[in-house]
Amino acid sequence: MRVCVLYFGVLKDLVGHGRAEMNLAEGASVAELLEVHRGLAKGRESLWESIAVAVNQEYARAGDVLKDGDEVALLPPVSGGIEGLERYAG
Amino acid sequence: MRVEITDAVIPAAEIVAGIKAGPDGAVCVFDGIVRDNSRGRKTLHLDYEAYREMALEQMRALSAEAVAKFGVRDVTLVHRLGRLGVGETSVLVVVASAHRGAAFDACRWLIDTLKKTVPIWKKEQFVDGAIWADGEPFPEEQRASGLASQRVSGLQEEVDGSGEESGRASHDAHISESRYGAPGTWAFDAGKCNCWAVSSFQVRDKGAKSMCI
Repeated sequence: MRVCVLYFGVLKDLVGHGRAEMNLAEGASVAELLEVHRGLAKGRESLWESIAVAVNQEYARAGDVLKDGDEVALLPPVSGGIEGLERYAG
Repeated sequence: MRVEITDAVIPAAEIVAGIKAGPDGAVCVFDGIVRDNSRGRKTLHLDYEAYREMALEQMRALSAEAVAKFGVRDVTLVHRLGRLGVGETSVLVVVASAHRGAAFDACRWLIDTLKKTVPIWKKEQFVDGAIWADGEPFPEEQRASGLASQRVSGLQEEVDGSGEESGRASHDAHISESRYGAPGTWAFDAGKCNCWAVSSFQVRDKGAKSMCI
């Protein structure tokens, strides 16, 4: 089956573009799609644990099963503000 | 309710004036503007990008939830995308309510929740480089993995210039034309070219293709 994968923010820079078509095995899950991408961010594996995934513009879980024609967006953490920085500083 | 994502200047004063109605006793405004510095570096401008359709839907849902949750009369939520200079409004939250307590609470909840869950990102452009601003991890219910519990470090990506952030990507790695193996897999090669940006690739049954730029 074929899905469209969208990349945003730092992920877009890491893969070099914002969109790709991918063929996946029937019944592949969100987790399996993430697994395919894992090697793309060497040295920053923790990135994959923090992202959200949206399937057809709805937040999805790792176990959700994809289907042909799905639009799958990989979303790095969204822009926080200065308060976030202060809270986590040090 | 007025909920918008725009590429134009946000007319903050006009929006605030326009929301007021007879039953209101309070209008609470959060005007998020571009700061001239970040972590000791001078900011030239910010570039905002979004998963636009989804962001708009999320903002609509947040506005409706704020009205239901806090009992406020009306909400306006506007976010701007594209390149913004210092002092410009990137996000405007306006809440009108009979009483100030609910207006303050709803306004604070709206901006805090928007910053955590609405898919909008900003790249900070400095004189000596650019980074994607670190975000807070998604709340548990939105995260795909559910494994992370802490802020992720090393998300900062030096795009150009010679900043000193840690976690800089290895530039000797790139996706290459690769194995003709299982669908949805591709190999990662190191050191074959000096670039690491990939202009395009597609993963098909026959494997992955890429092109360095």
